[in-house]
Amino acid sequence: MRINAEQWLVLSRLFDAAMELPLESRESWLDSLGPLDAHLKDELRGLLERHARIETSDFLETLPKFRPAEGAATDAVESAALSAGTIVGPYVIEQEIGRGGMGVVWRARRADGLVKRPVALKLLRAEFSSSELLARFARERDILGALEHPNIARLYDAGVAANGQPFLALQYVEGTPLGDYCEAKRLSVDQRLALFRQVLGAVQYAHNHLVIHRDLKPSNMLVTSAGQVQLLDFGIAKLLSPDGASLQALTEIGGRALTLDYAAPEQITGAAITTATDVYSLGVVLYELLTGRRPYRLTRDSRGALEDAILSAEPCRPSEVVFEENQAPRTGAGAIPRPRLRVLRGDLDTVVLKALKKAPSERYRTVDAFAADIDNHLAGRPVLARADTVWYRTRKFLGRNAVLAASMGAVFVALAAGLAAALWQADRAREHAHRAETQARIATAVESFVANIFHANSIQQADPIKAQQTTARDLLDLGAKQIERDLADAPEARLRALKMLADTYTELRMTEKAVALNHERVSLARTLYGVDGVEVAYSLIDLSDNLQTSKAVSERASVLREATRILDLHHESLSNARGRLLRQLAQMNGDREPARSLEYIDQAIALYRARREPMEVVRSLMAKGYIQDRAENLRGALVALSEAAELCDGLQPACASEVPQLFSYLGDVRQEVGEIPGAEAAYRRAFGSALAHAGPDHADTIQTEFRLGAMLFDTSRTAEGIQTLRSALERAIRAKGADDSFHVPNVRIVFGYRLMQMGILEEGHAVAHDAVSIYRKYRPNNASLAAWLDIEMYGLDNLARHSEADERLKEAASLLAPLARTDPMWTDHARFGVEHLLAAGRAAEAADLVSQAGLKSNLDPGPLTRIELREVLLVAECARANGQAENAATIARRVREAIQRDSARQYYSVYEAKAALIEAKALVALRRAPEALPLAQAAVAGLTSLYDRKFSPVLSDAQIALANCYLALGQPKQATSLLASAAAIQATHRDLGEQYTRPLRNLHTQLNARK
Amino acid sequence: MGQLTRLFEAARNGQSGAVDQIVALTYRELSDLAHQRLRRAPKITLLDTGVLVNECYLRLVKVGDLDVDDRAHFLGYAGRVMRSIVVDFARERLAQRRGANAPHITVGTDIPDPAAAAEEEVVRVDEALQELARLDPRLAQVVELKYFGGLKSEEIAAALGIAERSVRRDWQKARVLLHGELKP
Repeated sequence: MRINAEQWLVLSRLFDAAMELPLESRESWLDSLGPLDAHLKDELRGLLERHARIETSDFLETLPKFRPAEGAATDAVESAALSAGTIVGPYVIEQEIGRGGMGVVWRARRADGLVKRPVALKLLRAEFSSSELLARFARERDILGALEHPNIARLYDAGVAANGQPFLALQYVEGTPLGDYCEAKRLSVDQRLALFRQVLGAVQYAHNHLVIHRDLKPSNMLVTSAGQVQLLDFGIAKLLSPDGASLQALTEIGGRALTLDYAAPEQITGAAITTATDVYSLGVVLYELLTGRRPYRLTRDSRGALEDAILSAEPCRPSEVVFEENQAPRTGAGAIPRPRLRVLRGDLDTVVLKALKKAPSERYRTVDAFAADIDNHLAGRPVLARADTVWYRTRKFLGRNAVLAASMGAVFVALAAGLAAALWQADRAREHAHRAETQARIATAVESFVANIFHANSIQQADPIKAQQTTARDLLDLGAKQIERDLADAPEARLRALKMLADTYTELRMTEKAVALNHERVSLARTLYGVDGVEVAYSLIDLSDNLQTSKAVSERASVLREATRILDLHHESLSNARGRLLRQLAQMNGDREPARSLEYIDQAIALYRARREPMEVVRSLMAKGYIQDRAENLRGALVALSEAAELCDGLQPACASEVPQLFSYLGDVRQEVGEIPGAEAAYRRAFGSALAHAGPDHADTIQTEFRLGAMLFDTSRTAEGIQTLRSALERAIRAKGADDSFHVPNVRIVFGYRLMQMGILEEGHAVAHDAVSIYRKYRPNNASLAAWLDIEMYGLDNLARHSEADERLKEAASLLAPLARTDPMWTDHARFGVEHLLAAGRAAEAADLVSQAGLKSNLDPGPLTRIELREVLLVAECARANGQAENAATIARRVREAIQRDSARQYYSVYEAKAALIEAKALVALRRAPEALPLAQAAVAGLTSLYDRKFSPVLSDAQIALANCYLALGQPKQATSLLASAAAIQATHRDLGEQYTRPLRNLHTQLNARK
Repeated sequence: MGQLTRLFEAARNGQSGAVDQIVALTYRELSDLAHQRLRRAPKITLLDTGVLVNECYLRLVKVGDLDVDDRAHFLGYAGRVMRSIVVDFARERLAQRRGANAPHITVGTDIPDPAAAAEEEVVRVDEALQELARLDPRLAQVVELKYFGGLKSEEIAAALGIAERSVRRDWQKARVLLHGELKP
């Protein structure tokens, strides 16, 4: 041996420590053993590798077998030591009914005569160590004994008789093994499938009870004379081979090999045994039922060859096997009826091969999914196995555990090295591993639960087409209803399932349902783990997330306080939950205390960077962008969001779900700082991604489409904008219903405002009015309502309902009263206020408001923005209305020239036309008609192409201004024809504001006076 | 008090010759049983030494050579004894086979004769075990009791006076080390 005794002393301890770790974390643990001598480390690595290699082999397990020496006697041995009448534990054996690798099976009865019916008494070979077995029997007996299903043979008892003989007492079933039954009765494919469905039902039932069979094979499936399938030996393989040891170890017991024919790859490699293992074995059974053959053709008839095939060979397609069999028909009872060939091709091939995938994750995720596809086949429907939102969530859920397992490595690297530390770390890792195992069990239960929801749906819907049309929402409701019943005795799984359903409701923005489920989750977590349990904090954080959009601000605040307290208690300062908590604290404080909010979000970003969770960094940067946008720090917002976008691009496709929101924010901010092409690109990306990934009716699709539409309209692509907004509104109503309280009114207010600007006043006002009514109903005292009221006010002014408009103005002002005068919402309101006062002919008040609100009469240097252009032009119009024509002309000219100089000129053509209009009006007033003429012409041309030429009162106003130019220049003919156009436009509106009708009347009077 | 039980006590008290006597006595008993079993074997045979050891124990108790309570002591010696029985048996058979086949072997006597694979293995394990005993005597003892003595973990634990868990850990390590020696 290459090592000496002293070295071995160290190696031996390290080896023991490594053995306690899961296989996959050993390598990183080795890496963390810093100060260890390199030679020793290599030795240790070599030993561990060797151990992994031989762990399941039979090396040195028994003495080798000796060939007989010449002339050895040949008398028989191993005769049955037992005979009928012998008492084993509480049973009297009657008759031997079978023999297998594990031992002999006897029909037996209770010796005390308490129960008359016979049992199948399995007497295990003496090789099964009795003390270990006793402990395991005690542990598993209750679980297995609780399996009560018409297709599962009950386990009545398991124990060790006084003489050390281990025994299992099982329900006595008289029946024929499944394969023999099918061949003897020459069953059709459909009949075979129907029997197999019984098997699947039983296995799914067991999986729901967290029991994996591990040794499914036709000889364990008996069919009674009544045609009922009975599964034997459920969970017994586990009973006999603890700690999920490989089948190899089990089959080698007693030196007598059991069959490997139905073993899954993971049973040969010794990887984790899961429900997918049973799915694989079921696949082999089905394969054999359909073809009469096993899935692999072996070149050599040996165990090794079979192991190789199971691990690496692709099974032949069942239909091909049957085809070949038909080409060269076998003789005897096993011959396969010809019609089977046709039935097998396609669907059934697919179904069988999916169950036989090498990777457990690629097989049917549950036995129910397997069964559903067989049902589909039997019913003549196409085989589904299609993904759905809920499945997606399930995968995500499982994926999270995988992340947890993977991150264990990092824990080791981070901690100090040295022998003692290494041993301590091993303890930690063991805890983790234990937790992962528990979680895997829970995950299985939850997964089955989800599968059951789908199953229940397909049962409840007699019409398969309808079943396929069931929405995720229906399935969720079904799940919420079933959760109590299906998982009543599995509270931890119920907690998980509640989380999963709540998460999905959240995803679908069905907040009220999510809130209810999360409330339930919080109280269940408290019952399970106490009020200080960290699970309670996790539930609270999710609950708070749901409360985000509701008005339950104080509830949310106390929820977050409680979550903070619990996380502090557990010293969870770097956990994912802490990150989410920080993010929510940031969101909650966003409106009131931007500085504090920014602190929280920066902490969250730092936390996720440290945790190397780029997706969460993206989400936190998005939140930061939002907070800074709210705080009017546009540049800051742009920096945060641009970084998020860049990170996100590097994370595709994982980041796809964040694209709609992120790029919408980015579009908003870019638009606000005047980067129009960039904003448009961002909005288009957001909408395209939502449509492609979230689907046509998803909230993200609605939200991104209406943003794109508004942006197009506001940047002078008015027709395309209106079209897009109309599509968004139709989408929202289709997806959410006309009385939806969030999406539909949101789209309506945006769409209504643009319709009114377009000149389609009556429809626009009605649409905006609907939006305001709903908003008022659901969020009566919300400051944001002010902005909506302002928009409705704009419509009312256009429709000559100035006094109602005045009421809106006051209502909006009272809603804004709690906000500081410096709040940007006040400035927004002031702009609308000035517009309203001008429309109502109260020019002096408008001028007061301009100076009071500090509206600007000059453009800032730097890129133009829409809001600024609008504001400066309002100030110019206000000056003109107050008789300051010179001033008005100057301001308007500056705006016009600035736009003309700008590289993004085409996006501002609405403002260019409006600036020209104000300037022209002012110049006419200043008796400078020749200068005014080209401007008025440009305004008419611009507005004709931008607004609705049949309905737009703004266009009529420009036509009147141009007519006035012509009049001043002594060309009444042109003026008359323009008057006719303007009058035609205004005649389309039953009621139109004074601001439009008065100039028309004046023009009319002047032209009449001229005649 | 049985003969063996007395010898166990003598051995504990350091009396010279006691151990040799125990081994000799146990050897005789076990060897008879083993050869009887091997002779009767109809075909390829797994020598179930564990069963032999326990049968031997029962017989010694029956004839009064051993007290029932001395099972652990007995098992402790049984491994060693069984080892020498099995190794002797294997060596003997190898010698016979070599003798019979000698004219046919021209080169490469290292090439394992498939017919004698079991015997080869036993002898090589025996040799590797002597190496292992220098590195970690207890590992060697565990292998002796399990591989040669055919004893179960709990019996080994009783024989060595250690926890069953330690037995399992020692067994794992010993197996890895021996594998490195025997199948490098």
